[in-house]
Amino acid sequence: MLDVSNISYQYPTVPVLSSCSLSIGRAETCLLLGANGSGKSTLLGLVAGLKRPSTGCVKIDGKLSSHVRFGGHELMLYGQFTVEENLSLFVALYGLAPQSAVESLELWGLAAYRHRRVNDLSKGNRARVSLARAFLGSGSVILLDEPTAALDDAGTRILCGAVERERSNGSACLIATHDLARLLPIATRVIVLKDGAVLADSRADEVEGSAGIQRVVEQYRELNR
Amino acid sequence: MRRAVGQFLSVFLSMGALELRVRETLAVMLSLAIIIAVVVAFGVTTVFLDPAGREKLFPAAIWICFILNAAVSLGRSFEYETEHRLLDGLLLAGVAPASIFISKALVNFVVLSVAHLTGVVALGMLLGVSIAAQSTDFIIISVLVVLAYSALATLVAALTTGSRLRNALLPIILLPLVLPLFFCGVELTTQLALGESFSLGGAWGQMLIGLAVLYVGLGALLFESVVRE
Amino acid sequence: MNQIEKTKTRLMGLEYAALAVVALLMAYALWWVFIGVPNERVMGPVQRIFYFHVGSAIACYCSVATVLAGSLAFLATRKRIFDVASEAAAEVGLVFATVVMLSGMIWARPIWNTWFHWEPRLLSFLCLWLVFLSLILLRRFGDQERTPAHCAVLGVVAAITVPIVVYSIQLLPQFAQLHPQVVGRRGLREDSFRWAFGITTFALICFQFFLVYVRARIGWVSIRVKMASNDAMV
Repeated sequence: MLDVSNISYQYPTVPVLSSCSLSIGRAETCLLLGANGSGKSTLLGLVAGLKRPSTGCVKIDGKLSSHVRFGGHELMLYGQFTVEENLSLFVALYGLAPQSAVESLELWGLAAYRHRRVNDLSKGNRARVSLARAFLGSGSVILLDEPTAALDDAGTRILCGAVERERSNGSACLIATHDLARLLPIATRVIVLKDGAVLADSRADEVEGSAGIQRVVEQYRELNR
Repeated sequence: MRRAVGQFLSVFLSMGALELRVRETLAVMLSLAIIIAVVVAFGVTTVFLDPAGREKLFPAAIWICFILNAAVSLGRSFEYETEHRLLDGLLLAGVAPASIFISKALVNFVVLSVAHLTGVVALGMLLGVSIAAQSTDFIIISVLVVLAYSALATLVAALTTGSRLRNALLPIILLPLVLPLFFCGVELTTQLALGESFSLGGAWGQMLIGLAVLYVGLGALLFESVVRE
Repeated sequence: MNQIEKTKTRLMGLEYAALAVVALLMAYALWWVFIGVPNERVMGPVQRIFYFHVGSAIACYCSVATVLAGSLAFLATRKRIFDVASEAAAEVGLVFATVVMLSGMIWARPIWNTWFHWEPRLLSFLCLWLVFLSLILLRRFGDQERTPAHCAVLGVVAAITVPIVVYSIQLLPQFAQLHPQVVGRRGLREDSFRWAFGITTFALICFQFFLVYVRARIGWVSIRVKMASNDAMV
């Protein structure tokens, strides 16, 4: 479904990714692990099409340009608008029924804050609005960049529920994170990045399934020691 | 196609609503329009005490006010759209970069038009000059100059938004580039003020139309390279 | 010796050859300007600055063209080498625009009795100078992560605007047209004048492209060094 082939990227003088390849299939929830600066966020930005790779390409369902859903470090919202106004704007942009904005507000536990400006929200609630925006739309690939960084446990439960629901609909989800404790339970695959290249992949190992994940996680913990 | 138009309208309305809500650019521009008008009028009346001299200088004075005012106040044009990287969100939602550019340029056009009008009225009152008799022609010239200016300024403002110098960098880059536009405005308005026959078919008129088309086109074509890394 | 080193040696050889050609051309041009042509009848020896003045102006337009070509190529391919080339052309262009302004002022002082006159072509070059300056300022103070793309966009806009600026200034009321309409109208009737003018202009254009090349090479090496040191830190 998602194919990243030989992708490289460099900031003006800093190489970040070098010939990185990976492919993710339908109904997979893949955790992307790696130390700070290993290229996780850059990889997600490239897959989302917000950055242009210096070499290589990203294909989704065999096509070069296709829209994905992306929740990153940044909110990608108007700070001066209320929660509801922001979600309504994106509902309109995605061509969804106006009702979707209200549903999304309720799903993410934001109904009480709907008339607050995004800039006046707490960090955790901002993260919820950002995720609510990210889960709108219909792209079959979902990219999340450290989604649990500012979320409380209730928020994380909502997130895991949303990811599981999307997976059962056949979407592929790629989540860059350091939060193994809360996100490992929903993962079907784990990939470790190091210095802009794939170091370990639970599916590439001979042992598949949960044993493979366990092995890769062990490798990742070894790196951090 | 219908979806693209719908998206364009949503983005345009949201940017317009933002401008109405924060009113920053508008407030800065209107105050600056009056302040610059007062300063220029003071300078002009000191040098030319006779009304004929003031009348001659009026066309140049209004466009000097406009160009300076707009170059200074548009520096924060993309402040709120880049605060939380809203533009990335719009791109992800499939909005064409050209749509984003045209929305922002149109919002800036409206704000600049209001500021320009304020400046013209203020200068007219302070210098005791009126161009009410040729108001239709003057509006045509103004719309074209302000449109071309907003397109170019919106593109350059997008370039300078991430800069450490921000507001200072925009006038430095923009002012040398808008000189042809400035000349068009001054020359055509002078023709009006002198009561000469005015037409957009002359060299200046044609250049003005060409510049408006060129800057809107360049902006729409190049904006993608500005917003996508 | 491996292939890369062979290529490097060959490149060095070419660079020295180019340097020699440019130096010889410049020396030949200098000989013509100071010895080859007689004094101009009205203006006297100061007229000799004309050859540098106009030659630099033409070289300056070549820089604008290089900025445009480099910027377009970068936007199309995203190859850093084109960005480096357009950066080099902008800097060299600023130098040549400065030469045009200064030589113009030195020439104008004894002939028109003024350093700067409000006059179309002087004004055009002042604008061109400001445009080159803005390109350099954006590179220096712009958004560091997106510098190449942003500079390429400004490069395209600036290079397209330059001819419009020049044209629009010539449309202005010609109340102050002091500039001699030299080539193609009445001046330069003497063959030696024409030859000196041609050879100086050609030499200056070659010199300009050589400087752009050298500056681009420095830019390229400095990028490689920065990348290598960033790599080493990882």
